[in-house]
Amino acid sequence: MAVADTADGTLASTDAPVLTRVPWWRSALGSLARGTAAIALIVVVWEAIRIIFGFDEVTMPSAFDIAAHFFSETSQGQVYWMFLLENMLVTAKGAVLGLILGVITGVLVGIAIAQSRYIRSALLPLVVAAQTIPIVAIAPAVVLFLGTGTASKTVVAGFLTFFPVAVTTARGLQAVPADSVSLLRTYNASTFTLLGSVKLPFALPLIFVGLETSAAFSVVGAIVAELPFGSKDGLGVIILSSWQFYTIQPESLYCTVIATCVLGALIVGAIRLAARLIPAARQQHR
Amino acid sequence: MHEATGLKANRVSKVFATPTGELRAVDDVSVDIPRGQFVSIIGPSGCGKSTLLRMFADLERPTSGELLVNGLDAAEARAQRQYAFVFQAPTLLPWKNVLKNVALPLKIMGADKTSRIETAQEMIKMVGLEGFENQLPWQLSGGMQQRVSIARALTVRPPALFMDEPFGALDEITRDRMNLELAALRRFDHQTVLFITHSISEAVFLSDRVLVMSARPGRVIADLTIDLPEVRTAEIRQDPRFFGYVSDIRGRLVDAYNTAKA
Repeated sequence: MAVADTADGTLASTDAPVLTRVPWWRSALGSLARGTAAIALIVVVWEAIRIIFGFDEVTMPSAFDIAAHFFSETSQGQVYWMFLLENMLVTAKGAVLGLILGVITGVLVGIAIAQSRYIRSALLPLVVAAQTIPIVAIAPAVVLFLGTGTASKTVVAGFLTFFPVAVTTARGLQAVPADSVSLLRTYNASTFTLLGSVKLPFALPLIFVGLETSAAFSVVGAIVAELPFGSKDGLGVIILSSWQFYTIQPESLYCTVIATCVLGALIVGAIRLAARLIPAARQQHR
Repeated sequence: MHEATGLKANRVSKVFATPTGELRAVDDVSVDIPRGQFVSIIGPSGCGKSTLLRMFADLERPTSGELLVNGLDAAEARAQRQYAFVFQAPTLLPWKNVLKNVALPLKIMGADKTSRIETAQEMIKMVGLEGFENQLPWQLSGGMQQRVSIARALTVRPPALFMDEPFGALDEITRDRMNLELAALRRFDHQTVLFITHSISEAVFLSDRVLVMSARPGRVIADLTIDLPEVRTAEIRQDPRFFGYVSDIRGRLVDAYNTAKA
């Protein structure tokens, strides 16, 4: 361990944080073990509830039947998990595009709210009011305007994802240390430079909190936009048909819900990874 | 050069509007600081000394009066980067390493990458932080962080240096050491320094001149020339004259506190 005797008499270790870091494969193995344990726990609780309350096969199919259903064949002769994966990608496209749209508008609205008191008083009530609109109610109208497909999914998912990002961006920008702003003023930095090199980076950890919430919302938004009749593919369409055939084949609904969770987890995971790769986005800078 | 005015405040007042009424932070202050002089301002908490400094830096606007930095109006001086400011907190960007923090002002002013790294490295060396270029701020002690902040201020080679209690958060031994280093650093560029402090011995040790301010509304109640050897070394702290100045200023500060209560 390299130790430097500094002029003010403190002993600073120069590489201690690197030494204490766990190798990546060990932490990956650990996550895998914890993930498996969590899934096992859910299965145990599920089965226990089913048996204790004596639910029949239709009300609550067994966890093992649901798992087996992933490997059954559809009427088109496709393995069910492949079928789900194909539809998941369709939904994923709408969700990710919607998330991108939501993040861009969210950050811009957040900046506008934080920069100007007048914009804040004009915009904030609208933003909050917009957030209370039940999305399920207006989704059919959006589909009517934009048709079934990626465009309507992007808009609905974008609408749902922009709010957390706008709020955390505004809050994050308002919490930037005053001295750091003064420091940039002493360099005669432009508003744009101040925002880009100090304010937004300082706000990033908080923006990423909003982003994680939004990432999960984006999947919900895309699925809601697939529910109105007329859509041909996507997880929302399968959920809809699973409702219709629930009494015959309840497993497909649960399989689709699991696929939805997987999609949400993947998008949230991607956001977390991004947060780890961007130095300013880390909660603590260590 | 010697006649040229470094810093000049002409009948400057600052009144803050507060919910409970007007607050007169600085009241009719006039000072004239020649180029290259090291001036400390000392006074009770809330006497407006930081406000006065921030007005010189154009971070606050005076309610009345004018402030000049190297013959330029404060706003113009800021636009022309006539000064560098050192805050009480190191005010480093936590996600940037030492080198990038020190190079920040040059980056914002648009210097090319090679020259700013070169200058930043030179300044890091000057404040004794060689080898720490790639460390992040949290990996450094408080004293080292403040050194980074001073290195950052020096990279722009400012004619004037504004320091707002830069060593106020450090322990006394570290502070003494930083005082010595600052005195040594200034022998290179001989900047005009306006230095805010709560420490009487720090003010006497570093300064050519000490201004004592009264409690609110802040006025300059004493203007003392510190007649100690030009080169400030640790031995000066044992000099009888040093103790003389310290006790003189202490007496005046006690008066300042007492008039505030009366």
